[in-house]
Amino acid sequence: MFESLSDRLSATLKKLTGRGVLRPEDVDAALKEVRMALLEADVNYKVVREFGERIRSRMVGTEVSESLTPSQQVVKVVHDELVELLGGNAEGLRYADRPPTVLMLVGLQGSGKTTTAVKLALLARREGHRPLVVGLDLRRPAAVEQLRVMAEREQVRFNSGQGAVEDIAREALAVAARGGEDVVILDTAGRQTVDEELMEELRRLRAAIPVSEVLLVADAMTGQEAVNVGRAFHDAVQVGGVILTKLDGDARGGAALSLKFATEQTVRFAGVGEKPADLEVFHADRMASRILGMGDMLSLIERAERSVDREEAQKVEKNLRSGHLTFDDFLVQIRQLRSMGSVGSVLEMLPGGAQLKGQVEEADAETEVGRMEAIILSMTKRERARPDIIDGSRRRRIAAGSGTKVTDVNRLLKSREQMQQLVKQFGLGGGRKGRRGRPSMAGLGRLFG
Amino acid sequence: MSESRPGLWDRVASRTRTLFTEGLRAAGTPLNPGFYEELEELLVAGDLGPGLAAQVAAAVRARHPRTMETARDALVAELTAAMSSKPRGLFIDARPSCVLLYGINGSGKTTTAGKLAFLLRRDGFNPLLVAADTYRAAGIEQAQVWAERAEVPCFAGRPGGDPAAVVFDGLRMAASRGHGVVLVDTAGRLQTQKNLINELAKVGRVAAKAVPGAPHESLLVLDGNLGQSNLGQARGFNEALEISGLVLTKMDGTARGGAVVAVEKDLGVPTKLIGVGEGIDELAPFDVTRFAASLFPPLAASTTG
Repeated sequence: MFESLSDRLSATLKKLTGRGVLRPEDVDAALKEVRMALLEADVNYKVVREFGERIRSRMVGTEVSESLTPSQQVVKVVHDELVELLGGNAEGLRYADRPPTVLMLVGLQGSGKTTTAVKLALLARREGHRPLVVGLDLRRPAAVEQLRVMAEREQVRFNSGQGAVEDIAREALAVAARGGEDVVILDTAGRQTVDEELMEELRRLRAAIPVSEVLLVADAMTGQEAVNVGRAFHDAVQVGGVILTKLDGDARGGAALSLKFATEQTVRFAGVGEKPADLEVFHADRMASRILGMGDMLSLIERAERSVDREEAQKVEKNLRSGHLTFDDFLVQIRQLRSMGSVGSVLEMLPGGAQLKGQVEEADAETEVGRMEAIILSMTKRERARPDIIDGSRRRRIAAGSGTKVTDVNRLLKSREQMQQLVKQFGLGGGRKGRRGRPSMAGLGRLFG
Repeated sequence: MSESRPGLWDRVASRTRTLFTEGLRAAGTPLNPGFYEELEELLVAGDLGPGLAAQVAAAVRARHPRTMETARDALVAELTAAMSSKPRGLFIDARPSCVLLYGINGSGKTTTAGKLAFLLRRDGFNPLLVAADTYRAAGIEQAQVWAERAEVPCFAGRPGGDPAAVVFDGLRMAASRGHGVVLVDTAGRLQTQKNLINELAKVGRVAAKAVPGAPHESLLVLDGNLGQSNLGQARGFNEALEISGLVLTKMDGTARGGAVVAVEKDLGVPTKLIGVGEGIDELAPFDVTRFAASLFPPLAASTTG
């Protein structure tokens, strides 16, 4: 995300690095580039104007640091201003002191409200709460059905109904009270564009029930219109925070700045994929770092921790300790790696990863993982548990079954052996009461290398 | 394809009118200092993007207009010139013709498929809607509802099934049952998702195996609210499956839609359809002159807007 903005800014700032002193005309040149970059990133032009003024006054200002070169100083000023404009770090979900916490999601059609509703429910559950999602979009065909299916898939409680949305919402609150659900997430109807009828429905809904917080769901690719969209929803129902979706695309995401400007509320979450775990707490400083091409390792680590199933990890760990790595264990690891998101989205978070992303054939890496999974799935249970029995004829059968070549099967078998060797060495030195962490994915990394 | 409800373009024009006309008026006459800076900013506000906005503003300036009216005419001429000169009608002469709709999540593919099915049925094309969004939860149901509204038959895949197979079967069925046009509604995807983009390319190849020459139209559906990311989208999708035309959606309200000008200029593909609202008949052939005029209406007419 934000790649182009970061590319542009780094290029501009690189030009500045070559010189010894930051002259006023350098500031002007840098500001011009920053302005163009922000506009191309779809930041609203009024916001760009304001940002430019703030940057200029700070660069021309008095804070001359002894320890920084002029170019570092510019980076710092731009970074700090971006963080400040984005509203600092988000705090995640706010739970009401007295349950239930009622979250009302609003936004234009196609912004991703329904998907986000389920993602938020899973987040609440991860944080020890019991969520209920409520389908209130009676307008878009099959919207309620979409929410029901997604909620069921994740075993999240779902409720909806017919008639006035206020009544459905009230009934849902009663259902939550009876069922012990303490977080109620309302998925409201969107419209193609801001219209009075929609705003009226949202106002009625907000007035009818005790809403803890209204969250505006907005597409990260929104153009100049973002300011008006943000303002219209904020005026109607007092937005308490913004959720930016589809940030896994190559959207430069200038809408983040525009929406903050319009609603005076911070971006709280970022949607980064179609999988239910692909929701991240929005961190302004990380985002600013990303904008400047400095990578985002922290988000990557968080995502890894979230994707790993503790129980399964411990099972694998046990097998590892016994010195016998089965292909079932292998499969668990592959799937954990995959659940972290696409290779591209993982790469993007590494320092310099945005550039790397262009070089690595992302699809190849995905294909490789997919191929490994197919090969393992083509093995019998017995073969997975006791890889030693896989002889030549079995290899041919597995290759045919998984649509791969015998050499692919051989390579996978060899990888397992190597990993087992590693494990054995580790097992000799490692204490029984070592870290209770998950087994490392180093073995898989080796396969890609 | 015949014209849909007559007021559609008026609705497009009425909303953007305030922004641009008021903006231009505030800028004064073309002889005022700062007029072209204001103009450039207005074009940026219309989502044309900073680069194209600067080009268009400079081109208008080069014509040395002396009055607001001539400046406005120059602006409409320059906008029109920046857009594709290719024909904007749908290529649906083959029997059956395959019209494939694709784009990012939430851009309005299914809605467009329903509206287009309705218009084509009305014009006697006997369309079949193929619901190939097997990925999204209830994606197929949504297409089925639109097919019912349009009163056209719907051929649907199984949730989680292979979309290419659905398209193949749908096209063969259409050929055997004498449908004139097959509308394919595909799953939303981002241009950065390589696997899904490859899947789209496969859908295109498989369509050609079912019916020679298919897809006859590959329409990229673009949300009128979106900005410069439309360019990246168009380039990404175009690599997988060559775009034959654009559909600009959600063009009522305050959506600017200026980003299509940038996409047309960049890729040379014409916008073929424009959609507003959620009514079944709210889709119309795209018309460059009317689009440019809707952004910058004649000043006399705009006094009522």
